[in-house]
Amino acid sequence: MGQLSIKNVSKKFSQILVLNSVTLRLTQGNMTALIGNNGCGKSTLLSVLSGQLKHDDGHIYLDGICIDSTTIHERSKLGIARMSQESRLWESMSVAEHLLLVNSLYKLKQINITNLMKVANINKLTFSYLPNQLSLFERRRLELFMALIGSRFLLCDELGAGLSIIEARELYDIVLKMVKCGWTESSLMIEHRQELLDEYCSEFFYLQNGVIKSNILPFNVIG
Amino acid sequence: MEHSIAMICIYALLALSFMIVLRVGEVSFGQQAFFAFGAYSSAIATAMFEVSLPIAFAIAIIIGFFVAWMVSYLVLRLYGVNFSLFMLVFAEITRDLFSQWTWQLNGSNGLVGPEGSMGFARIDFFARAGLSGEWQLFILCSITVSIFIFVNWLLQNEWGLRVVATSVDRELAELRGINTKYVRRTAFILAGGCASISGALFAHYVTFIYPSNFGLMTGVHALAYTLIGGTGHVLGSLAGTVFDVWLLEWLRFAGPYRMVIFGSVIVIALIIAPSGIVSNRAVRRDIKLWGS
Repeated sequence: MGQLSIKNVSKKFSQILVLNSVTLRLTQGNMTALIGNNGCGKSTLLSVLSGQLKHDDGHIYLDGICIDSTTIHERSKLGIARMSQESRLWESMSVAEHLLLVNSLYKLKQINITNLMKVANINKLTFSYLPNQLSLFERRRLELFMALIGSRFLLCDELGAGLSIIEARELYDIVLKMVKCGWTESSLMIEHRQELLDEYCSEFFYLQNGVIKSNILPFNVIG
Repeated sequence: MEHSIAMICIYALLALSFMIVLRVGEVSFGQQAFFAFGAYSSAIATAMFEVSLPIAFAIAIIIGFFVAWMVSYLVLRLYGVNFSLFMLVFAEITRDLFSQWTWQLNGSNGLVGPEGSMGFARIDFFARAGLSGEWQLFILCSITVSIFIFVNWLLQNEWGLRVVATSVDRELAELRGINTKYVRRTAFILAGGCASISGALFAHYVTFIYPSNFGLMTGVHALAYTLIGGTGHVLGSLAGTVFDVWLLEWLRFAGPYRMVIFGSVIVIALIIAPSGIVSNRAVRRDIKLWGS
């Protein structure tokens, strides 16, 4: 049983305390939501988890082992996959090259790749396309697929941003499927659309003034 | 004609070295430093210690790798303009050091070795071994072609994809699990090795090297070759070098206005084909992915 947890993590930007002794644990088989007002530190928390930002205080544990000093790519290899808020792909590489590259990094079995591609519905006709020839939805789906390949813990920052509710649901379905089948142990989603969170997430963390208040029902938050 | 082909072989390798650094997303103005290290080390090996050519070339490559590895710890912390400036300064320091350095041994026919700004004369391995012009050309061509094939294989491989990913979006590459520091370092070391073997070929072909061979203009010319040829494929470096060397020879009729016309033609070429003669799209292969 693997788990990702953070204990008493604090992060300061110059004088401003963004995360104040945050403690949080991702449990297996759950889609977890991280909610809070704009600028309350949701993205900062994900960046701390992925290693893009170094936290000032506290510890991050993966399977009980402290991973504070690991770099971004080491955490990625350990299974912490972060998707960024804006759509990011390697603009000069074709879709096929994206897939080849990520596959070469994680060395999955053929059958896993085929199944993953089926779940994520990656179209073989788009293989020779460059990212700027894809729609936003296809871009996000490709990004999600690349993140899922190596992921044990998926950290999504606004997965559905800029997409219609139907498209966003499709992406959330993919994540839910992967979490339910056990490929991805759990996921932490930042999302502004209440209906998506109500539909998919079973656990909620509410971040306010840098402090986590766990398991608050979503309607309480929105008020 | 023969001289042109030899020069194309030598400068194509130097251009390739610039191209590899461009591939990781940095502009280096200093690969001519490795060119100098390769030239001096191989020349010292054959002229002063009279070892055979393959060993001298191996020494040049190893020296190139080693120096690049040492420098990489300093320069790979830098990005963009800072990287370019560091490489420029490094190359100028290297050239200065070679123009101060004197170390001569008594050879079979008099003193031989680097002699400060007077350069390093009588690197006469080819003459001593009695190799004809055709043989020299054959050695140059075969080494250049095999290195091009090797580098092409590396760049078409997974490593090449990682290099491109690192240059396009380094943070995304890290997030997806690519060790970008390692990728940058290996690419830089490979580029150093290419420039170094190019220098070794240069020293043995022209038999007389002096520090001003390794000045900034050498580097800028090689950088121009690779930019004109295109950085999408190794053939770009070769095509750019062929185009430039041929153009320079052909423009001899223009006399004193040669460089003016040369510069204008290059500017026009870059306007017409900004991504180079051999563009990335033209040679992009269809990837057969997982048996599909």
